[in-house]
Amino acid sequence: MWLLPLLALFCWSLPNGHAQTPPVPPLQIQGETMGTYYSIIVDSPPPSAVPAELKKKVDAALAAFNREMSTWDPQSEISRFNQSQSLDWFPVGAGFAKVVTESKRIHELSGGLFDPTLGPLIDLWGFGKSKRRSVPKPEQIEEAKKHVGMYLVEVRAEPPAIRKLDPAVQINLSAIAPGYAIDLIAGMLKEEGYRSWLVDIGGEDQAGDAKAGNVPWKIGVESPLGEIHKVVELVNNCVATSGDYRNFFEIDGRRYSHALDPVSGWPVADPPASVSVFSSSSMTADALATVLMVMGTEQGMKFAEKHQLEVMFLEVDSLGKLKETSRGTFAAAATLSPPEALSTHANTQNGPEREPENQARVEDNPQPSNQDAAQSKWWLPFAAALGIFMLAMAGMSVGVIVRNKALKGSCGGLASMPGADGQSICDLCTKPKDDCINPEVKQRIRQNASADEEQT
Amino acid sequence: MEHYLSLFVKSVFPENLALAFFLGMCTFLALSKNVKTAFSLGIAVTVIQGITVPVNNLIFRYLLQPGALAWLSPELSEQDLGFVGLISYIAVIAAMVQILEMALDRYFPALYNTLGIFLPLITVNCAILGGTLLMVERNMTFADSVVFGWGSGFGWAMAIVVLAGIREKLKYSDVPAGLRGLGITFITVGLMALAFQSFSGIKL
Repeated sequence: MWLLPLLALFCWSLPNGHAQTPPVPPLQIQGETMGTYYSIIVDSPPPSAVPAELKKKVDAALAAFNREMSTWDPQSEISRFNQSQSLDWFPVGAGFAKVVTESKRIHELSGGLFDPTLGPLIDLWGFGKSKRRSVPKPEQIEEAKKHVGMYLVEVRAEPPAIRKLDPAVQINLSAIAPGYAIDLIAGMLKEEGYRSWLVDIGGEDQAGDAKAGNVPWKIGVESPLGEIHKVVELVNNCVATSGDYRNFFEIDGRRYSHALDPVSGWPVADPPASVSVFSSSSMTADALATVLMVMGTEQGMKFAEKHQLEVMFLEVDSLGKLKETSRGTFAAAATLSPPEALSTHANTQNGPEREPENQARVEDNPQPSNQDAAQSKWWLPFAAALGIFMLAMAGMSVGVIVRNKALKGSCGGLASMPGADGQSICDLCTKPKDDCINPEVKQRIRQNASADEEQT
Repeated sequence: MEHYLSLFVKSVFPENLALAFFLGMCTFLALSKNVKTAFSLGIAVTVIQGITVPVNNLIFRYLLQPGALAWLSPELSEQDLGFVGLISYIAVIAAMVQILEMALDRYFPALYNTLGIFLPLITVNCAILGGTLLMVERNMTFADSVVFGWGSGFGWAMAIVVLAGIREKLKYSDVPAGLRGLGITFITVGLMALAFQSFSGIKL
């Protein structure tokens, strides 16, 4: 997944209206993770399902996932692995080892175009945490490339561990780990006994069984021009989209994307606006979308043919016209003509305006009541904060309340100014002042002091 | 069990609050002139840290964390009270210090007399708040926070007692005039911190 998710996603029940069972509202939970959102919809949930509990489990699973693979958490396994200079086996979670194994597989499959060890190159080009935008010198690129390559990382499954073959190598799984997170949640939903669900993290989706009445989940793929380009059906399958047409930069009039080609060490020139790909696992789909983005349309289509992938490349030519190159399900799906797409979208929309960034969104059987309920609770944080402040004040004044002790300043600030006697209250730090302590202690300290003097 | 043991050792040595994070330096330097005082303060810090970190952990997990109020009613599962975190933690620390002060005064007057003047100082000691904030940042479980609280308190106490021991011995050494007092203390602390760096090689 590169930068902005592009998948605008909306699922609506078809207006065929002759569903036999009374409609159970779908269970929806949403939250934030990995700097983006996640959303889960469960169709026809059992009456016993509690959204808050499911959300808690999902959040716990994602937190555990982040503790393994988030490079933003300095204490995560991946961060500690990156910081470590050791060439020994570094024990990691089983999931981490699995993601690294899959990364190595895709790395080989793509001839090195998928590479989680790109860190030094990304930093060099200034896409990373340091925001520098200039073209590095060729020798700098060569130097950085020395520490890039998935072959510099080894993985074993039993017990799960990874190790560096070069102390400087850094891994960043952000192009594959979110997909794995979806797989994790999907597995969890299956374990919980849910059958028909849709999991979406930052615009990458995985769906379970079809909805009640055998209605498939529908995913809208957004075109770079802003409309829904195609709607595809998703049942027991995964789809990922990669694209960053909003984040290009120009060198000598040529457009470069933020996707880096690990082989040349340069950003990809004239990249497709977006690439969507189906796969049976979200982890694979996520990584493949990145690979195809780096390959570009022509080479990518050859790759897709060779490996029987269902893909769709979207490009925008210099006249602002959209060009699609696709195979499989994508090619079969009907293109929505812009007016139709707009009206469909408008119909399904109910609530706030589209986000300015055209971020992916999930909509399902809009329930205005939810929003009303949320609005009626606006005072809650204020009330809770007021309560906590009052409790805090009461807690801090417990000494005054129980023992009627006078408030005193602490060390620092005005309290440490010398008083009329030339001494401040804070002298007690080093030389306890008489009225600060009780007579017994005073007595003992004096004795100690005189004993000290005798010694010296 | 192994996990807790390693967490404890980690909070005492490689992540020592005083010598790795340099927290609570004011009291650390000011009150390390003799071992007895340092020891008393060390005990006070350990006890307060051991109590406040777990208490704040409960407050964080059942009141403040996003969705933490879900146990009250599912409607509240969207609430995030993280913005009152700091005042809650410092209030807990202040209240705990005062309660402990009163309890000691009532039941252990001897210990109270030893600690008396140091207890209020601890309220504003950043090692204590730092311990709580580290606990929150690392999203510890309750059991983890108990171990971390006592461990980090113990680590701080150990560091100040060691420093006090060194400073007591330093009284008899010939320190160059310009470095006497705080100067040589800074150097000592720096060397101790360097020495503690060697613990960071321990793999836990």
